[in-house]
Amino acid sequence: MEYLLSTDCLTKKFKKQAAVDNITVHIGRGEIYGLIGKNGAGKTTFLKMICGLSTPTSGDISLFGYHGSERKKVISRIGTLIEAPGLYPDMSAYDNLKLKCICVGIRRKGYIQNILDIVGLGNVGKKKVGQFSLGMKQRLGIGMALVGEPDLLVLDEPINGLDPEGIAEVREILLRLNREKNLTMVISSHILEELSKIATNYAIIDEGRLIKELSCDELDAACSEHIEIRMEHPNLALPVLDALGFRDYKVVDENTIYIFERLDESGNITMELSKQGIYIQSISVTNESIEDYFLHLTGGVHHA
Amino acid sequence: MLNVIRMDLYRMLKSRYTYIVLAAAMLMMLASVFMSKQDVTYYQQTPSALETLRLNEEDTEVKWGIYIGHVSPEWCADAEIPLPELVSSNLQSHILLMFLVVFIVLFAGNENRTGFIKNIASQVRHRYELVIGKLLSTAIFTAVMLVMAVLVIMLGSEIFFGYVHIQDFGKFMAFLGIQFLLHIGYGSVILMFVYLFQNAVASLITGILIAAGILQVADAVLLNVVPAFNEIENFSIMNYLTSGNVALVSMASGNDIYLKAVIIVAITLVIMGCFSGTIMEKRDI
Repeated sequence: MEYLLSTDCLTKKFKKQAAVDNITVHIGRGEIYGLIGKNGAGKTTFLKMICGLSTPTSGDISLFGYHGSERKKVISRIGTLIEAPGLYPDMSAYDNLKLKCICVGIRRKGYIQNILDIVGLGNVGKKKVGQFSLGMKQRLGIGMALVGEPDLLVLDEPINGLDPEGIAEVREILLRLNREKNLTMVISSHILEELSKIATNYAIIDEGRLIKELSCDELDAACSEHIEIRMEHPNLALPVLDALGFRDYKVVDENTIYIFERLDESGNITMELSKQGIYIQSISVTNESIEDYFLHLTGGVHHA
Repeated sequence: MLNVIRMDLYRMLKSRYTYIVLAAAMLMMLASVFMSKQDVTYYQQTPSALETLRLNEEDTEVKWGIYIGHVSPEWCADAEIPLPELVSSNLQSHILLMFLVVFIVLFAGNENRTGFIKNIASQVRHRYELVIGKLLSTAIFTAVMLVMAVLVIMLGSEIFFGYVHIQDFGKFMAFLGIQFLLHIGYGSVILMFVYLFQNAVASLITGILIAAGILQVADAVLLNVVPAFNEIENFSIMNYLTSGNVALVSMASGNDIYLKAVIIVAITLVIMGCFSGTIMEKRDI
């Protein structure tokens, strides 16, 4: 499969501290790729490197098939909203957009108004950006990223600080852009439940390292109700599960098996494993939230 | 490249800072002419003070610092004060240079401070284009500021002295041209500070202190470290800086001073442009 964006062992060090440590990800066209991580996990640094705002210490980024310094040719095809929206508060939304339009050489009549309409700011008139609410600024930030018809949108915490209504509005805008323009997006967030409403793929990063890359289906499966068996050597249990007729199960890590079917048969499983002399630490039916799943993976107890 | 320049010019026109700094500078010019008028009247009515002024004027070397309302003893005679002299004293006083520092720190610094640079840094082929855009905006702002200063001083002369006396027009234009270049040269230094420090207060204070001649403190050190400098008459590092030459170049300066000023501006622009461009290219945003 040809990827629109991929990174290979991407690393960024500040002095000796690795903010991003050997991250390899692959993002296909049309995907909404959710980047999940705690504050300080390295999400913003990773996104800045993708956008060309920061230089990697080592590793490579492939963008639209271009590598290394060749990537400069296509980097303008990325629309970015990194951290807070970069806007001039003493100018109107129209003028802020106009500045970027001039910079990228767009002079089409009605272009700016169209972008304002897309992000729901079509009727703000000459109001200065400094008087905008946080949600309006965030939407204008997305509008700025849309100038120049980018093929890839990189959005860093686009719903940060928004009220529920604002979050829903931004979510709708992003879904519409993905649906109507087939825009590929990389979106970072630490509000996992929100990200799960739009993302098609995920990367979970912690302390600069990629913990897991998984699809929406895989995340759903991991978070659906299942039997969780914790034991020293999961491989020993697999023939027993096969013999019992279980098909929908997965070894999720070196000590854990998830079984997604016949959830009322945990007693039977325990008995059969016991008969075979296989020691288990625990067996339970669980239903993890995405947040629990994230905390489980990162081993964190802090809020994600 | 042209798009970046157009963008910066559009922002300069739309930004309120442009007009606030221009208005403040022009008010200062008007106040300076008014103070000159007050002083001239005082000296005309107080011959002993005028004599002291004459003696001080003979003893004083170039004034490297920032000052306002300069009076020349010749102005206190009954003859009319030439407009070019009023203008040159106000330019040499670094007052306009100080306002230029404020403008550059606000204009160039705002791009970093607001984060707008994140929207455009990856849209340009080379980030040094952003530096060139700022330098050109600085040049246009300087030109507008100088023209307005001449007009306001002309107005002040008419209001406070009751006449506008223009003489040596060609020489005056040459002087304005050199001052224009020197102001742009110093602007490139401030632009470099803005990119280097990424802090408005630090850039502003450094820019104003250098305009005020703070680097004179280096003279004593240089004279001690490099004995050969003692052989240069009236050696001062200010003679080799754009800010120093703003004070040094006057209506009475000869072609050699003008040529030296142009060379200093050219060297400053190249060095500072390269520094700023490199900072922009290498820096993480």
